[in-house]
Amino acid sequence: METKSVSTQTAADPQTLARISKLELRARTVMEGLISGMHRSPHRGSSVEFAQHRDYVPGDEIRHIDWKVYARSDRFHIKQFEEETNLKAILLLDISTSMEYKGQTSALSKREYASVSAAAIASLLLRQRDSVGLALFSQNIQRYIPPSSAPSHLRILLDAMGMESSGTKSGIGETLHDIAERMKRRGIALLFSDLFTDIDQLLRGMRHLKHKRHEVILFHVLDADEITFPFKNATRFEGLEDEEALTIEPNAIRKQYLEAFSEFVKQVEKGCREMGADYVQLRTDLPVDTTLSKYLASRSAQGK
Amino acid sequence: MSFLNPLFLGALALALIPLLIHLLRRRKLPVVKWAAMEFLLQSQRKQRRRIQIEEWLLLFIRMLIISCIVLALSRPLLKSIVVHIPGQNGRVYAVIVLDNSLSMSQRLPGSKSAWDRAKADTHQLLTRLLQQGDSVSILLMNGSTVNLVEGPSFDLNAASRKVANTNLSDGSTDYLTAARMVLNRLQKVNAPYPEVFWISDDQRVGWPQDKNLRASNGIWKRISKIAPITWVSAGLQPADRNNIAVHLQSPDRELVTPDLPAHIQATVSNFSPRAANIVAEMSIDGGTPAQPQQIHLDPYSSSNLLFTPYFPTPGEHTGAISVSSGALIDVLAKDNTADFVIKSEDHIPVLVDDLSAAGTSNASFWLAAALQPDSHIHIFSPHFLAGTQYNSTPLSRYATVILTGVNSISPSEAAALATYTRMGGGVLIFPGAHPNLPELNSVLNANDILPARLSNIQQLSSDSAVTLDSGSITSSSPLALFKDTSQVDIGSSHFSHYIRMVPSTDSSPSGQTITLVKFSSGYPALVETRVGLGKVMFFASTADTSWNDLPKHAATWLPLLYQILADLSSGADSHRNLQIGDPIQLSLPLAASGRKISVTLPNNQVITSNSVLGPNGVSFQFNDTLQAGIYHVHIPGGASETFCVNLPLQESDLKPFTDIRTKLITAGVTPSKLTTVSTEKELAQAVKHERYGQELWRTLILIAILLLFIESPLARYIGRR
Repeated sequence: METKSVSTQTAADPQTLARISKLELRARTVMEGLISGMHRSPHRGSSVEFAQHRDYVPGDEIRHIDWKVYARSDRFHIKQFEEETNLKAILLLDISTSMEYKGQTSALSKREYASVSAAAIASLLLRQRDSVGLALFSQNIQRYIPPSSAPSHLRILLDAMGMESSGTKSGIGETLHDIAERMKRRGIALLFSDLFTDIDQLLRGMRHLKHKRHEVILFHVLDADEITFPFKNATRFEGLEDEEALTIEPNAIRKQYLEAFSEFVKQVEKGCREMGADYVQLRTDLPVDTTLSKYLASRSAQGK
Repeated sequence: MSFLNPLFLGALALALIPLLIHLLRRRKLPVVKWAAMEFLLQSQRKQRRRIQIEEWLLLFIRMLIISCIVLALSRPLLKSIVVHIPGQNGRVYAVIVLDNSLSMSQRLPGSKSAWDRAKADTHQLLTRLLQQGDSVSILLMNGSTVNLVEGPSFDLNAASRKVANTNLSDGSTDYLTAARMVLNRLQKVNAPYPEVFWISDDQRVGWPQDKNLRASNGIWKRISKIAPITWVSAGLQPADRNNIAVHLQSPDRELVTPDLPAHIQATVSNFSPRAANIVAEMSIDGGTPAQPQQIHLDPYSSSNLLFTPYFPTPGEHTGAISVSSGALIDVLAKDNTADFVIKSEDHIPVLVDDLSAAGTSNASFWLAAALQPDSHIHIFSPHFLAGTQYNSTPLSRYATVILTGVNSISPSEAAALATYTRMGGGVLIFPGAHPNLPELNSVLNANDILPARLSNIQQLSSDSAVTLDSGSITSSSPLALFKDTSQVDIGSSHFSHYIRMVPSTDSSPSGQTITLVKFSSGYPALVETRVGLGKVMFFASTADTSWNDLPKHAATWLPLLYQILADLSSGADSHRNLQIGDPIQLSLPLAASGRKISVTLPNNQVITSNSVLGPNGVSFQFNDTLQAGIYHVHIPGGASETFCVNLPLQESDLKPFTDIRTKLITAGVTPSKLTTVSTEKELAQAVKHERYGQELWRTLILIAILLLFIESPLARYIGRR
């Protein structure tokens, strides 16, 4: 199989990142970090070490404006500190073969699309000096990169995302249990997957994470073909994960397929809702930034 | 199962096309590497069985549609399972009915007549469709249906030659007689594989009516039980069957004098769905048509015309009334002319014999006044006798004998009158004022010259006197011209006495009694009976004024007496104007006994036959009058008599059955045993059906169409669900 690599250019597309950087990712739960700043923290007041200035953006707290710099330059700058946040985020990227599907009208496969999205978020988090880790998994975790907030960490993440597909089925449940054990402090688990696995196991794994008081955001990556099933003529469907092949008249079973698929999505959404996890559907035919921006805007509006 | 186009069967392989498409599509299907297989498998598991059944059903239907079309093109024939179909071993006995009636001469300008087509169909049957070893009987349907080939004849070529030499008759269509003969042939021959071929123009008027209908239906049913019927319609299309026609009604008098005009009545008919402007003309003795009369006739209507020509030259005269139709295309030409024959004599010799006691009757006076009204008109040449002197008088010298003042009559006198009448003479009897009714009944009846039993004398007061009832005259009566009272009102005279007459109920042609006119009381006034070749008439009242005032009303008395005498005088010559099929009858002098008499037919064919000596003297009868036109009978010794045979009126109405198939099925023909065709090609196919079975292509096409109607929604249903 062809090696799937996510180039730096694609993953950290400056335009995409610039748009996302104007929104701020805020952790749902109260972080344990000592650094005060953009994340609401119960440990506000602890002394921190100044790191740098950055431009003021609407929404920043007034008290963080460096008035001295304003007096000199007549511009608003925000003081940032070395450990303003100690948010730890883990990007969980499904690299099972089902993620390799790329619809005829899609520009990217699900894997590529997930990688771009994950990279953009990683970039964003790192710019906020949050710690970002990465776990590539299929049947189980294939590669694990512990969280780090070093700016250079992005390169490591992006390189890792280019890892070849595993050629196996995804075992999300097991992976989530594993991650729950590895994440000692409260953090955010961002799962990018098509979720073509056992839903009960998935939900059990998510519950485990929630139980450990981690926030879980589920990015459900789907191709438009999988949602609309647009095939018309008789077609031979061969499974990407070694399922039995099937020759069918698409018209004959479209209704049943769409019903089953819709039921599946509903189950996932319901499971997420019940445990307080965010569910975000990423359609590979829509622009990467649009969906992410929309989600982050909704989070921002909720004050998370 | 056999096939008319077996070569097409190879195309059955085309039925594999849907299967090939099905398989090829499977082999060349686009492949999609699919991630969400679980959902597809899950959906497909639920549907698999149904989808497979539906797909195979659709495939089967498509293959079936192609198979049906290919099979239809190959024209399969299904052999009957119940009835054995004659194949190569069975020998067919075909009864062919060839409509030979006048209506078959119908033709559009420049095209073949129905008769030509019928002969071509028969020729095809005999030379190509029937095979060596088959046998045939051929009947000609022309009113008196004759056997052209009685058969069963195995010499089909000879039969074909006979048909080719057969000419169209002028007879009428008569399905019932022909059907009877067909049934008779079938029952008599009792062949294993009989078939009936009926070639006709489907003329509607020839179908039996009323009481004959039930008998007809029974016959058709029995025919179809024995043999399949192939009905060949050889006539024109209904819309093309325009015909105008003229037909002669029997002349009121066939014997005229230079002073007594003939009454030639003709019926002009328009048998077409459009109105027509018709010109009718009359020609005499081959002269130029004259006296044109114009008539406008609505669709399917008719009108009567009257011509009253005088014939100043004694002798036999022929004439014709012809019609022309102007713009209307007339498809039947022969009925546009109607011929007639009239005999003219200088005078009509009449013997008047007053049998009353001298001085008791003035009948002779009134009769003399009537028969010799003035010196300029000489229609009759009367000879008056008083008493019964004619024992020694040769009665044959007179055309008519009038007996007046008859109170009684001797047997010898009655016998002499009877002999005279049988030879063709006419007798008119007026009673006296004191008739001996029992004796008259007895004597006249003994000699078969009593038209009606004389019951009693009815005496009435002058107030309740009766009159002659013109309404009681039938249109076929020689007195028919008095039905119209605008010219002559015969009801103007009053009768205070009359003899109540009870007409004989004898219905035999020789003893047939006709009441020519009745009194207003309903009792017969004038009764006629045929005796041999002549007639006897009995008037219920006297010829003088003792019982009535008729002789005083010259305006009534003269025309009535003239008409009666003209009719009686024609006696033996009264059947010069005949209808098709009527025999020519002639009484001849004794010298002609056993001599050969030749008859020249309208087509100039001469047929010779012998005269016969019988109880009525020497007579000659000629029955073969199936042609319309003038017949000349040549009697040895140089004398010649002319007769005219006219076309039947009904034959001019060419209207066909709306649907002959329905008509025959209604008549009892089993539908499966009936095939109707109208072209030679269809006839050939029909014969093959009879031999090899029922053709199935229509059924197959119907099935294919039905399947197409099923296939389309099914394909859509399977495809779009």
